[in-house]
Parts: sequence; C-alpha cells; structure tokens
Amino acid sequence: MQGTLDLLILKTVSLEPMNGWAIAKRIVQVSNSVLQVQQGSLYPALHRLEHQGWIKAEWKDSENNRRAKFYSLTAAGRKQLKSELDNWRRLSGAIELVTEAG
Amino acid sequence: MRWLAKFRSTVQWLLRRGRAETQLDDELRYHCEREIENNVRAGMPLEEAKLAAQRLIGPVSLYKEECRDARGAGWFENFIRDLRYAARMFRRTPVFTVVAIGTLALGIGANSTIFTFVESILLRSLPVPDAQQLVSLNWGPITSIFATGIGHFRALPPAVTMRRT
Repeated sequence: MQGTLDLLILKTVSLEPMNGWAIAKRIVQVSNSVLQVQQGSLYPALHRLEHQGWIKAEWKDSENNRRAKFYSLTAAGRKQLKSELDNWRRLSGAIELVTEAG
Repeated sequence: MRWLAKFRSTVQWLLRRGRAETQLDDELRYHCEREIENNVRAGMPLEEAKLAAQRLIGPVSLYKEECRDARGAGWFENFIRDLRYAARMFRRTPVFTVVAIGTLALGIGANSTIFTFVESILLRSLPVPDAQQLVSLNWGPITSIFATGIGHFRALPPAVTMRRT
C-alpha cells in the first residue's frame, strides 16, 4: 500500500537523518522482518516525499565513510506524519473492530 | 503555496539535470554496495554477493525513471525522447521531410505576408493626429451634383461633409 510506505518512511526519518539503505534496513528490523521494503518502491517514494517538501536531503559521510544521501523530516513533514498517523490509527482501529466483532 | 514549492523542485531538478542524475546514480549505487557488503559479511564470495544483490534489487533503470516521475520531471525526459525520435524519423524519410517543411514554410510565409499587408492598410491608424477627420480629395470628371467643373469634395465616413464655399 503506497500510503503506508510513506507513513513508515516519515516515521523512520523522524528519529534521525537516515540514508535510503538504513531506512530500508531499519523498517525490516523494527518490524521483525514482517515488512520488506523493496528498493524499487523505496527510492521513488523518497523522491516523491522530498518533492512534496516533507523530507529534505543532505549528502553526508555515512557510517562506512562513503558519501550517502541522508533524509530528514521537515516541519511540513512533521505535520504530515501526525495526520498520517492519526489516519492510520483510525483505519486500523476500525478494521480491528470489524474483524474482532463477535 | 505547496504547488509553488513543488514547481520549484521540478524546475531545480531540470536545471541541474546532469547533477541530479549523477546524484541519483550515486544514491542507488550506495544502496547496492551496502547490500553487497552485507552479503560478503554473511560469508558469500564477492561475485556471488554481487549477483545476489542485483537479484534482490532488480531493474535499477526503472527505479530511476520512477524517481524522475516523482519529481514531476518525467514529462521532460519523455519530451526530449520524443524530439529525438521525431528527428530520427525525419532523417529516414528525407522526401517527406522536405515536402512537409516546404509546405509549412510556404504556408507561414504567405500568411505573414498577407497579414503584414492587411495590417499596414486596414488596421494600423494613419500616422497623423485626428486621423478620423481626414478627408479624401478626388479630382475627376463631373459626376456629382456638387460638381463645378473644377472638381468635387467628398467626405470620408460619417458626418464630416465639406461644402464648397
């Protein structure tokens, strides 16, 4: 689901500036490998989010001393993250209500 | 003003297209290298690690395309590609090209000539003050009731009438 990936990315880069590879790895790790982020959807999503002005990019040395593009959340991104989180909670809560209804 | 920011982002991407493309390459290559490193650390020989990373990552050029689209810059790339394609096609059919270009050239030329003519005669006002008060004088044979044998005056449109005194 496209919207969900946006949410995951926004949440992940809200913790600290991260490069694409680290974002993908972190999502896999934190979700106990349930969520796999393909490069093919990660990078277009990153560029789309940057284009929207929700994240901004900066070239910095990465942990292994190579230049990498680090993404961090902007003020507009923080607002967007909040509204997407609210949305997601409402949606997942509603699905739970329906599926758990006895 | 979000659309303005987006528009600026697209324009920036297009203006620094060469750099943007290099950075996109670098970004994706970095990912690939980290993936290979990971595989090597997990005990794979280098060649196998490369292949495994490629298999996992998939068609990079397609991703690049999608990143450009995400920037709203895809249409520009497509436009350039269409232009190139058109140029190639024209080169392959020179006779058609010459006829098409000739037709256009003649059409445009004739049109602009006629327009220039019409414009200078009908549309542009005369280069004098109070051009609407201008009168045309005709000297000719006696045809009018005002005729005197010397000539007659006739007013150009509307109410300005000149009389002999």
